[in-house]
Amino acid sequence: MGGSGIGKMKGSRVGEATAHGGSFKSRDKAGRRQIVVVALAGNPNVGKSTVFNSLTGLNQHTGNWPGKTVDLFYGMVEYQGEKYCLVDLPGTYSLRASSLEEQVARDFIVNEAPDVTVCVVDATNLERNLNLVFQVRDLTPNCVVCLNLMDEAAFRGIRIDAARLEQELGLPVVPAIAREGTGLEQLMSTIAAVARNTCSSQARAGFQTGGGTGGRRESAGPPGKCSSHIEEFEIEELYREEIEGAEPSDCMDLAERRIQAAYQEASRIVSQVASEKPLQQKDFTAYIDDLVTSRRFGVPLMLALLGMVFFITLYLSNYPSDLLFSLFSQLEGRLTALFVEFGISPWIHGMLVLGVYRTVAWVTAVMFPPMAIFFPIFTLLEDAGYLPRVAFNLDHLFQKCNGHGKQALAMAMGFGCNAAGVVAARIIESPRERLIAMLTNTFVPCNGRFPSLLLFSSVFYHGIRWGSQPATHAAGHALTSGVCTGKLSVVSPPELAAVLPAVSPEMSPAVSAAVSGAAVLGAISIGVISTFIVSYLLSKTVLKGVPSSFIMELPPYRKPKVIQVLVRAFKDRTVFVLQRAVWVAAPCGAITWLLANTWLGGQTLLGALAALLNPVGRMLGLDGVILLAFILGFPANEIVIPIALMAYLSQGTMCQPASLGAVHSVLFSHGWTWLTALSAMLFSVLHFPCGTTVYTVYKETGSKKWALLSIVIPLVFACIVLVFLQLAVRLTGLG
Amino acid sequence: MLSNACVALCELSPGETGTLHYINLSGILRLRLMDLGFTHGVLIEVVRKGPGGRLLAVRVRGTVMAIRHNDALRLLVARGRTGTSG
Repeated sequence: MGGSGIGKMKGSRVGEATAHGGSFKSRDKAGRRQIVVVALAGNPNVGKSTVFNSLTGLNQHTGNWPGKTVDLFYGMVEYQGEKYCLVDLPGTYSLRASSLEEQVARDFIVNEAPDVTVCVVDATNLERNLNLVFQVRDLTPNCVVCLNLMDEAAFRGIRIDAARLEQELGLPVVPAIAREGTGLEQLMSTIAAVARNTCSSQARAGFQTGGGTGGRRESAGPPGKCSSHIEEFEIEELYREEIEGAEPSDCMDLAERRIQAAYQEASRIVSQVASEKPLQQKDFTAYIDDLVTSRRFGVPLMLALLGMVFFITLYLSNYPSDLLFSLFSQLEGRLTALFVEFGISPWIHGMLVLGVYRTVAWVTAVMFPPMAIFFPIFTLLEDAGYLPRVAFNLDHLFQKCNGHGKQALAMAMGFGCNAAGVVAARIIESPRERLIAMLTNTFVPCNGRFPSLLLFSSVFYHGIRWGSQPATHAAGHALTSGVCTGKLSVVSPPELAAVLPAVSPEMSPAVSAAVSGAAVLGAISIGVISTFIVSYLLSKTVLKGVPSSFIMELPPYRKPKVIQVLVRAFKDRTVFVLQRAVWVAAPCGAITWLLANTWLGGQTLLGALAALLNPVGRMLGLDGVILLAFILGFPANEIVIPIALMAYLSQGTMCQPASLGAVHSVLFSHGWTWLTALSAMLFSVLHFPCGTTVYTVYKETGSKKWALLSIVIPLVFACIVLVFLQLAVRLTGLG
Repeated sequence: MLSNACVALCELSPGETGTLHYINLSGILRLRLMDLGFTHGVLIEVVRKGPGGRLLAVRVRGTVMAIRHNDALRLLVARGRTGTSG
């Protein structure tokens, strides 16, 4: 998942092949490819990824294919001395190119001309799957059908005569149970045979080797009634009609007749090759769905599940976070000793160790444990098939604000990382609703913002409980460390470890995780409500239009392949997001340290900037420092708190806070009240997205305008909300 | 074929089945539906209605699909298992 796959292509063998000329043109002297390119096509939820993962193992990469903004997964396999590059195309029901993913899949088959295209097919649902097989067969002659989920078919009393199907289709058919690895060896050997063009299948006769001129082949596929081939002009024509609202034209009729014919052919073939004993009892999926999508329990169950995921994430991440903090702090001591030993100037030490190292350590210790827990749980839910049910339960709300039910899925992904959420919005076919989903994704607080939210919520809680008198507060806790460290104005990681897990020092971890969980849930609710409001406003202004249709499969629940899921979640999500955050945080740490240590007429540059921003900050119920921290934290939201503390402490206080209570007193002594904390919390949820997310919006839309709007819209909304909050508090006399 | 027996898909209650007769939609959306298997004469079973009552889960060719009330309004079906399948 994710936005920045470009660099990864280089250096890999496929990368070299693609880097020159934008296509797989790397060939040996005989004109053959050095690497056999195999594309994997198939409907969503047919276990295509399982096939791909089982064949390639851990040898996978994401690659940004030339000319496309969409990343495709590819993996290298060696089979009988030959090298194969397997490319996992997006799961699609059709190649009619009516959504981005369909377009990507189709363009890959047409333009890159893979040596072999494997169509992964759901044996329990052959009829609908054949529609895609026909379309692939029309685009490329070198097609292999992988009849997956044979075990599920057998369980449901469906028997399929694979040899007969092979005859009917004129394509090699390999039955498989990818989950157990059954049939994959045969699949590889069939792929190899087709690639060598020695396959015995009759369909091969008369066809030229798929050498791939890169262009469209003439007379591809057996001619006849089942052709569902759509010409380029038809697509354009259809889009034109869509835009201009013209009457259906001839090509529409043609496409329709082709689909109709394809399904007729499909059901004819199915009646020939498959026999089904109808099952009397209700299946497992229906039982779960009765509960999970019921009108009464659906939404409460969903909220309970989400709450539990957050609770588990926050509770379990306490310990590894503490551990990482203490590890990093020990390492920092060693590093400092080394710097001293080699007599390196304090400035360089300050910038590299106190700036870069500490910021990176903070980001890693704060982000890594929750992500390493959240993403796998999330991926498990995704794999089991629960997420479409979330969209199903919430769609009526999205209908009311002219959004798309699948926006819920992009939002769910946004809890992990907003950039990943923006990418996930691809599953929405309509461009208008997809844009709405991308522009509002930042209202879902990502993992990187949880730590700030937790801190603000605990300040809010204490502000209400004890008031904001710094003296009272400090006395109440008596935790402020007496150790003054002179010039060292940066809070070091171990002390800040306390900020993350504990809401209050005297609470047990479970209670504190529960309180934190409640606070985060509160923030999320605000974010979700804002999503609905802004989606509605957008659909009435910039993105006018009638809601397009919403059709979504509710696939049967499947037992997730736990190990595969865990590895995938870790590699593709956790490590990916963390890596990016670290790269962004490192230079930020250096810059902030420089700002905090450059003196300008009696105050630091950081202080001067904060003072400059103070009037604006006050208007919003914040102050200059925290506002500056949010702005400097644009590259990565995780570093907002470290920057703020750095700025507050460089404004005079030289004491290092030793615990959460001390962090509280730093804030309270700088004039924070419960209202400041609440405002900061709201601002954190509603403000502009982080730099990576904005860049991802730019990459996904290809437009600077939308990237800019993705900053402006939330920012304006956040300011309006905060100003109203100030007014409301003043009018009611609470403040 | 368009007789009085035709009703909008959303008028069927959960558990009821209808045969698709007419898709009152145009453009890409119409093709999308057809690609998903909503072709003329196909059997559609309403499985359940969503929490807000604005979404239907229907079974078509062995797959459960969620479809909005507004779109289901435009799919005209004949109640029961009449017509050809496929």
